[in-house]
Amino acid sequence: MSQSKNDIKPPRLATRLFNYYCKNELADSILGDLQEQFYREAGKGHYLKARRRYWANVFTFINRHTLRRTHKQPNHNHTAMFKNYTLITLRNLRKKPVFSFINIFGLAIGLASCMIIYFYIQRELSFDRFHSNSENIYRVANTYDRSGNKFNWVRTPPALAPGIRDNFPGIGKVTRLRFTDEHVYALGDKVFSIENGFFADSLYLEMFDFKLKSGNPETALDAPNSIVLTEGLAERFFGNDNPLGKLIRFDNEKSLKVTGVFERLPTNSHIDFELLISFSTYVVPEGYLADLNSWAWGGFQTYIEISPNIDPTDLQQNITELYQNNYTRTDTKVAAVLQPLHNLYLEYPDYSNVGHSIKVGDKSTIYMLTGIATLVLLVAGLNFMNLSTAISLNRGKEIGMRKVMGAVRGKIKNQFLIESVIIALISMSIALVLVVLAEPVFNDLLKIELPKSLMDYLVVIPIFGLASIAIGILGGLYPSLMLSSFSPIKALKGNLKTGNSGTVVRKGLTIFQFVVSVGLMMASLLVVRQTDFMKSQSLGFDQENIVVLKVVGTDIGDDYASLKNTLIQNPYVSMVSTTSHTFSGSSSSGPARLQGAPASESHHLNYYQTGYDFLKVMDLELKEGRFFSKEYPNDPEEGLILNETAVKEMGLEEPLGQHITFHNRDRVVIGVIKDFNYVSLHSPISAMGIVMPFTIQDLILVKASGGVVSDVISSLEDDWNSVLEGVPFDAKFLDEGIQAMYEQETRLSKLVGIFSTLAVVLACLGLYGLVAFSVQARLKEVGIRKVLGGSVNSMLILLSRQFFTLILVANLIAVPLVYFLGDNWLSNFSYRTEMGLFLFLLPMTVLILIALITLSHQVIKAALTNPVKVLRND
Amino acid sequence: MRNSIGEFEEIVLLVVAAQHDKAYGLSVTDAIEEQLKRSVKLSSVHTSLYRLEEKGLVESRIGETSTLRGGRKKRHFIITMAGKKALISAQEARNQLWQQIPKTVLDINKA
Repeated sequence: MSQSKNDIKPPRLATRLFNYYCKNELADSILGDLQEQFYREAGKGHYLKARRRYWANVFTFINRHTLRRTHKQPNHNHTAMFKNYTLITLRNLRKKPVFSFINIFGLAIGLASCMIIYFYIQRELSFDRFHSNSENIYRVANTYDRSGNKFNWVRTPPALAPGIRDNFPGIGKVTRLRFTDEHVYALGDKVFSIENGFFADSLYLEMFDFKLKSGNPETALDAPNSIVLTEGLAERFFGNDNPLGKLIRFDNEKSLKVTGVFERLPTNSHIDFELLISFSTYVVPEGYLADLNSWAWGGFQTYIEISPNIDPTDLQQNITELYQNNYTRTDTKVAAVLQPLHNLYLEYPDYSNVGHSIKVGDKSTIYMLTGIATLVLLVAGLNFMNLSTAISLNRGKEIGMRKVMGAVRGKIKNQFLIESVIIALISMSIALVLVVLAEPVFNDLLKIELPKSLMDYLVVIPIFGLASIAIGILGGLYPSLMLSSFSPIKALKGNLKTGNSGTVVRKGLTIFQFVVSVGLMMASLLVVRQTDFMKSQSLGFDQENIVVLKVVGTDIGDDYASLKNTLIQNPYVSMVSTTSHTFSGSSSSGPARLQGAPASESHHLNYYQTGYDFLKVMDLELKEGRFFSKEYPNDPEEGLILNETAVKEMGLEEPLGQHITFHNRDRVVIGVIKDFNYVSLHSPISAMGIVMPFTIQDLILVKASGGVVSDVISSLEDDWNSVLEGVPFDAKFLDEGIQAMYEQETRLSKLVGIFSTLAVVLACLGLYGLVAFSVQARLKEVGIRKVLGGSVNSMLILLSRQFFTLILVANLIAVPLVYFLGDNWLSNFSYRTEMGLFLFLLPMTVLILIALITLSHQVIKAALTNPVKVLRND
Repeated sequence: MRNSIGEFEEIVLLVVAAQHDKAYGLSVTDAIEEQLKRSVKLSSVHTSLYRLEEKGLVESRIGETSTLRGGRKKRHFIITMAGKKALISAQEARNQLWQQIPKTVLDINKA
């Protein structure tokens, strides 16, 4: 190893390490010995050995004689300085109340938005995690592949659960659920019609941790005619009495014994129910084409809890095989899918036939909100930084004094960092208060559940405390570095001017803020427009003034005729019909094929069962043929009406008179109707048929004509009670159900609106700070210009020009960005609005106007200042 | 004995006394290695010196520097009166033991 003489030096890192741990009074002499030894050895040519020895010595010298004693360090009087920093911080805040308010409040708003979004996302991600065995529980869903058309269905046939249980003993627990639909539950004179319930297998309560306040979870659902109630429902029925063992009448046909009462149920469960009835109570309603041994009736939720040693992938394969062996239709390939319980709420948006009372979340909202939260926090943080810098600018004298009195640069840096952390922490406390105050708004208006108890809010303090400290440090870094760098003489003169680099940094940050705020404004406008567009879409039918009466708990059968007669005579009613579904997404479906064609050529047809005047009540447009009519006695048995899409899909050139086998019954196409949106506008219209009722009709459509809403409803109720005494009256407007399908978008547009408004407000606060900053720095220039005869107007232009350049640049960046992202988002919709010029121009104008107002205040003040004032001191 | 010293400490103290006024960490280490043919670590010599200083057997002062040491000063160790006494008493104790050995036992040539 040849080293030139100059190269031979002891390893620097080792020396550093030694100096780090060794006492000062010993360090020099020891290090001297070490180096003497090193040079001697290295001089003999054993460079590597010397090096190794040096390193080894550095470590072996660590002992009680050499180690620094921290407690013997000289006292730097940290507490006293810290106290002083706090005092000065508060004094400075008080000195400029407006600025301080803007600064603290701006950050508080940003932090509060983040907290709200944090709570929201936290809740969305917590779904179904409270069950103690939740990672071993799966929902068994199924997919159908019918000649290339794939359907992902959540609900499975009733025979699947018993099939799994019998064929794979020892895998764990299997249970199934069936939605109860609306029924009448009565106890004496307390009669409620309740929809939110499930028939549940006896194992259900052993599998899921829905805790019982009273009753035994292992046996509560064993016997037929058992019912378990939620706390709230039990209170409605029994008040303070003990409900256990009491009987509740079900649809006036049987009595259910209360075998348990739930504790307050967690709301973050994907299943949402008010009552559970033992599955053995369930009877397949009359008119249904299948029974509980069916392998083709997708109407039941199946859940399994498997032992930890079982591989879910293998099991899924085995269940699929079992399913295929029992599924009789040869044209369809079925498969079972095991869906982990944790994922049910968010991960399966592409599964349909989810069933009622099952909550499905929206992952894209979570992503969007996370993005917004990040942006808002960024804007708030940048603001904080800009404003802190601006505020500190005329503290030159203080900094100068501190330096003269012996403060080194590091101390000044620390002072400003501590100051900004203190302000950030104050902001965080205000943010917490804001969130608590805003809780009702978010709970009621936006259906965002924020925690109710104070404890839940305090939980975020560590997280957001740390975040605030980080924001404080990051936000304070720039001012602290900048302000501490001035020489005391300059600083004492009181004018702290920064070079060009600082201006570039601040300009860049401002552009970024404006890109974010104008972008968010454009985005929220887009969301609002898309939502409005969907709501205003012509759905192909009349959704106004239609009341849906629901018959619950009884089969009105022949009473329908007399009810209809009574209703028709009501002056508020113009027409009456029946339907099986109400344009809110759900429909029945069945296979349809040309008569004589093989089963493999079946088409999937959604269908409604409706009464005679349905076409007129809903104001649907008939394209060909006719609607059901009493003049044709065969209509109820074999009449079939198709929509245009169905005609196209089945390839019918002459649809009228075509014989079609639908649901194993031969029917004749008597009419074709124009496509109308019977599902939400998220998806395109699919093939649909209309037949006359073959199961019990429970939805009556009443077309109202004029009148005050409350009058109409109460007169309908009178009519109802005169015919169907004792049957609960249940009326809803059709459009309520339709609006509910767009709840997600409505909520999103409100949310985006709120947070983007906040972002704009924050950006403008930032602009205010920046303007103040640069105007202050140019006061002398303005003074000289005025002395030399510059007009106020020219000053205005001089001072505001650069900000408009910034805004322009920000817009140039934001527009393509929003265009690209917006286009992406719109592609999720089948019916989408256009991104017009308006979408971009409006936010720009708004931003420029707000900026103008913000600017003018400062600029005019500067332009009108008497030049003597600013120039006198020089 | 209050100021009892260990065997290694005794050696270090002897070297310090021998290199009167010129002893410092590295020189003591070198002397032990060369004269006693015994490999010692620089750090253990230092530790030993500090311990002797704690016991009041040596004193230290900051001495001269040299470029060979990267410009760092030496810490010289000088034996104190207590150190000298300790050495002498250690010596005496040994002598006492020596004298108790019967002459024949140590007569190597005879054996």
